Amino acid sequence: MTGGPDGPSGPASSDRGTRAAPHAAEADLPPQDDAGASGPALRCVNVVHVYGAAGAGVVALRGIDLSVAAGEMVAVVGSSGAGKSTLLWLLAGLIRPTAGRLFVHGRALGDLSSGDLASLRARQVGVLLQNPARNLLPYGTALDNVLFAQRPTRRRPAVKSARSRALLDAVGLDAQRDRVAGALSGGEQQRLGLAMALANGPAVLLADEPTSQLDAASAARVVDLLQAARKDLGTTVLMVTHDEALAAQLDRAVTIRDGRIGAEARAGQDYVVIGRDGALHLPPEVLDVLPPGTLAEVRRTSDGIELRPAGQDGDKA
Amino acid sequence: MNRIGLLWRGLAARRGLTVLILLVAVIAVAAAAAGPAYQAAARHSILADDLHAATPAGQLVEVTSRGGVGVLDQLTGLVDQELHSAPGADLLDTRIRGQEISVVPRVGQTSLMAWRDDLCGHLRLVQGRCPTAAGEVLVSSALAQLNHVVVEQHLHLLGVNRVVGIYEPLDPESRYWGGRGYFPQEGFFVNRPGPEPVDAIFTVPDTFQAVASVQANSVIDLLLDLDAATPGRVDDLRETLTALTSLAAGAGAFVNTNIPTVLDAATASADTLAIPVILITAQLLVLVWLLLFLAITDAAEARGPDVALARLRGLGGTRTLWFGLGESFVLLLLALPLGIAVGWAGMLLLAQVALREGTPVTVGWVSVAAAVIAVSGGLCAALLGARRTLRRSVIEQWRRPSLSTRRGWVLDVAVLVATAAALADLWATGAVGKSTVHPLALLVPGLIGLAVAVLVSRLLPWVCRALFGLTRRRGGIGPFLAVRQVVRRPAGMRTLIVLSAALSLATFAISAWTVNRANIADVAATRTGAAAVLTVRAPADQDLAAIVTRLDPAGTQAMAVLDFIDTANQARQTLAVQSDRLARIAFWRSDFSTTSLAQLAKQLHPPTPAPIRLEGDSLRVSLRDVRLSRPQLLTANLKLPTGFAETPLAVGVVKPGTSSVTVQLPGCPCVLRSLTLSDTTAVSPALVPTSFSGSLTITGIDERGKAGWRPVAAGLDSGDRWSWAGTFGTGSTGSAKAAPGGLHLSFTVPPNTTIGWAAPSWPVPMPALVTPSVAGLPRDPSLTVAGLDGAALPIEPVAVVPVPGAPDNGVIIDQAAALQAAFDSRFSTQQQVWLAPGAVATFPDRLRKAGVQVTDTATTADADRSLRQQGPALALSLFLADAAAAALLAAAGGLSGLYLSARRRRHELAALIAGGARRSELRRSLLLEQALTLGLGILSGVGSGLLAVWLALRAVPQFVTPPSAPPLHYTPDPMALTAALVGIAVIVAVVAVLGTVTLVAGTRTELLREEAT
Repeated sequence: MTGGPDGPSGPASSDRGTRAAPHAAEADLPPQDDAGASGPALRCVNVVHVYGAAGAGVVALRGIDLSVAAGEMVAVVGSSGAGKSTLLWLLAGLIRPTAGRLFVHGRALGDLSSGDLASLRARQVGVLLQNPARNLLPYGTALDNVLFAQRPTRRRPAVKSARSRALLDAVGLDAQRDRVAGALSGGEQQRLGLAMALANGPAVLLADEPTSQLDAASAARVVDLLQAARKDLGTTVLMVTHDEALAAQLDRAVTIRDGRIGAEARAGQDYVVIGRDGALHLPPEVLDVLPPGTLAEVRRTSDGIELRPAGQDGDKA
Repeated sequence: MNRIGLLWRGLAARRGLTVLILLVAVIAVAAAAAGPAYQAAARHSILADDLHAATPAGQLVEVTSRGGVGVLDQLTGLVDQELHSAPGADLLDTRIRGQEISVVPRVGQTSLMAWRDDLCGHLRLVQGRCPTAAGEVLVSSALAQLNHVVVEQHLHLLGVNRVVGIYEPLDPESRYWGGRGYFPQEGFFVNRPGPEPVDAIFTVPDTFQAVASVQANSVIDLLLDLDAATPGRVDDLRETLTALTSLAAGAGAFVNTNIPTVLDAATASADTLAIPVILITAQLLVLVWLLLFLAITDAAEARGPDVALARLRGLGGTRTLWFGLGESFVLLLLALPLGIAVGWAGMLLLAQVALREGTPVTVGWVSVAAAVIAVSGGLCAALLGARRTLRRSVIEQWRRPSLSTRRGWVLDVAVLVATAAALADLWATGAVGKSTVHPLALLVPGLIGLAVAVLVSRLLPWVCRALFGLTRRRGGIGPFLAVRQVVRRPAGMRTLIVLSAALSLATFAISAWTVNRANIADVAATRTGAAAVLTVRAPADQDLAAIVTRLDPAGTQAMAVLDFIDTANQARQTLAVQSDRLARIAFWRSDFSTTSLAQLAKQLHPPTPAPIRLEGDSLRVSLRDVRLSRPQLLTANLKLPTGFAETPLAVGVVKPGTSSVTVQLPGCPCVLRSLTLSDTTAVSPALVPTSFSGSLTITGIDERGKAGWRPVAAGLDSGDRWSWAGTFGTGSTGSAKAAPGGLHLSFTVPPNTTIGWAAPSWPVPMPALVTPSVAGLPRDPSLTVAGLDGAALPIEPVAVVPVPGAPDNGVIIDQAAALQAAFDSRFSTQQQVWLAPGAVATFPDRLRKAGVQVTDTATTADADRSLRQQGPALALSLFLADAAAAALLAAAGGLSGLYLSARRRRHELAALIAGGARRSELRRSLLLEQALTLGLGILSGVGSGLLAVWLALRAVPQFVTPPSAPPLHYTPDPMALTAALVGIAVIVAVVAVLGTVTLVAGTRTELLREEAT
């Protein structure tokens, strides 16, 4: 996948890198922290988010700590209401956390104004929504939509146009570029949405269940495109999904349970994640041994710790 | 280009809202632009009407000077000097020079000898030719016939003059003649007693120059270019007239013109438009802005997902604003030229109906500025309407914003308080609840409409909430959904407010217009007097009343009237009518009096004795029992066929005892009106007793005819034909008693008192219908008005009413009695024939065939049209047009809003259908919802409009100068009002039903697969 006449785009070769002077909006953004240049693309530090008024709110996230390296493709899984989409909106700067900090390529989102956050989304963070129709303007053509996505930039019209055509070609919609987006199929709309999300060469792509409303073939195509974006453009991809098979294909899959990251899968291996306060979420398959509410003993061993139900080995609670 | 393409595609995708917003915006701009354009056009129309309807004095400037040879040249130089550089010189470009001098064609006659530029071009030569040399003259055919003049005859006028031709004027009323009395014999009467005025005698300038001593009136008439005298040139014209007047005064000349008065009247009438146009336009604009706010709010809601997407893609605050409102802004900007064009076209149409034919309607800078203000207001409405959507976060946008069921109280309270304060202020100024005419009364319907609408919009959801329980238990899903939808959608209440306020305006406007039209019709009819009033001139030897009676024996078509205008008493009119025809011909309204006009007319002509006519050549009065302490001369006072006062005829000195006195009668037949006694010689004041008494009996009054002496029927032996007519006052008494032995006269008077007895053949005092202004005159000892000869005539009011033909200041008396009481009235009264409606088309020709000249025609229709051209009536026409547009627009907007709102609930409808709800129930629900919102909007609007009518209609200006009579009515025409409002309601109902049926029929369960928008 290429980004158009300006060459491959990604965090190293995005419009920012090829431009003679830094973009004004970028120049207005607070400087990256010291870890920005080589640090994680995404970082969450004890992020808490509560919806609603204090005392009557719903706690969506209870202290998320997450770090995603640049170029990684990470899945976020969990049951409905676990807080997956909330995490995505926080990282996109669409909502502000109740507590904690979020960083995108070293920039603390909490330090950014609404305008800065919009600028961030214009250049560094692309978003792909679950409902294909929400990713685009249904009355515009495919070409119109990709051009629309480039509005926040100051590219010359010819550059925008060429870039749009290249993106449409990359997602396989070159033949449909003059079709009204509302008339495209679900899969085509989602590919168009992806082209729009990548229109400005973002360093990060946040995808909220991008394949849940697609058939298997369309879903596979979208995933291939996401993989290509990550591989060719170096885009860091954070994708919310219910599809465990899909999650297994990615570099990592973090599981959010009850507002916390309780588990993570890497290279086919499942791990539990110890929380900031030492909390531990046991995987469901072992809960028959230690059901919730059970007293358990924790013993240090030479190579780790041992967890046993209380009362075993003659010790009674 | 992409942006433009995307924008147009967006507009097309939401074409329903696009059309609605564009339509409302166009109407807003049109309304704003139309007001000033209409006002300017009306000003033009009023001025043109007034100038064209003015008398010649109001259409020209007369510059005159009196003197001998050379004065005219001096006058010409003076005019040239002033007009050379005057700003209004081009308006007075046409000039007619002339000279005139009074001449006496025959003893007892007066005429003008005159010459004017292009004279013969305005005359038709019946015989002979135009004069070319000094001393040659033209006489009119009427004068030639009267004085038996023929061509080649010599007349002694200005020296010796030779008649070379006989003429008839082509158009005696043309302003070419300068409004001078050149043609009294053609029916243009001259209201002055004196010698008989006859037609002018025309000649050439050399005739005047040949007589060195002649002191003639030199005249230059500057004719005003009536079509070029537009409102924009009025100041130039005034400046020129002022400069000309002062220049002329400095040179000993005079400038006479009524143009400034005409301009003042036109300006006053046009000025009455200014405030109403602003108030009417402002109310309509506010209403349309509110509608625009609603429409753009809907449009913004519909664009919510687009705005969320723009934010998601990183578009900043300002650019998101432009993106979100871009479509609306483009529509508003597009509405500017379209609206101006529509406003101009609308005013063209209105001008064709309401204004003078040919009035130009132009869009000036004021209209454009008003249009820009309208667009600016629309932009503000757009910002306000879209702010919630634009400020809503992306996440909230995706969650389908909650439909708040609660509306803030603050704005409503503010509206109500402001309305109450404004109404209180209007009450204090007299615009509400009182009859004081005040243009601010036009604000009342908008204020009351808005306040009532706000209250009703609060009441309806409360009532619907109260019905929740009932609809849950009974009625099916239709009412269940309907009452809940009404409560949950505040947009519906906004629609109700707009519709209610618009219909309040429409109700008031229709009422005001119909009331104004009815009052105009009555005022026009009362002022005119009848359907048509012809100014005529009957042949000199014929009685107009006799001609009319002959042509219309039944008395159902025409009535002869003699009109004396008392210029010394605010032009009070004495109308002497054929009282037996009055009720069938004159305009009358049943509320003018509790007694019918027929009954009142009968009271105008009570039985009176016949006049004592004398036809012989001598008069003899026989006396007996004469008891006088000093000799007295008996005088018989006669009314001769011509003459402007009684002619005293000394009969003879009365001797004591029995005697008779005889005298020759001059110029009879005549009428004996009274007998008086006077001292035969002057008596020294020292010898005059303090009281003088006497008595005598007249045993006979005889006249000598060809067959000898015969008695005159003078009522000497019975009845009360004779009455004391001496001076009334302290110590002065007299009596006249008729008995078989003769008429016994007695008296006791102080010195210097008239001793007389009269035998009037008319009622004394004369019964009359009088206006309140006459009824309020002082009685000294009785009411008097001018009779047909201008002399004081005692009257007794039969009723105080708006007198037809003279409703402000006049009286109606019986013509036959008035002619008995008057002396020669041929040259002091205007002859008229009043026509019933059915005779207007044909009777004038019948009069002409009978030898009667018809010189002018005034109709109620013309008077009606003239009043409808006044500023206040024109303002109400604009109000009606604007309010009708607002009502239809509000109805359209309301229907569209509810339809679009229902359309956005398609997924709900689809879900209900999928869940088993019948389409008929859903239709019922939507119809009930619309009936509640739109129906209540209509009812509350009509109700508040009627309330405004009750409170403020009396204060709405209807005339430039409120007429003193007839009493104005304030009851709207129920038929027109009902028809208009029912029409609107029917249209709304039909469209609502059609839209609902279409929407429900087009709702498919497959919609559930699509994303709800």
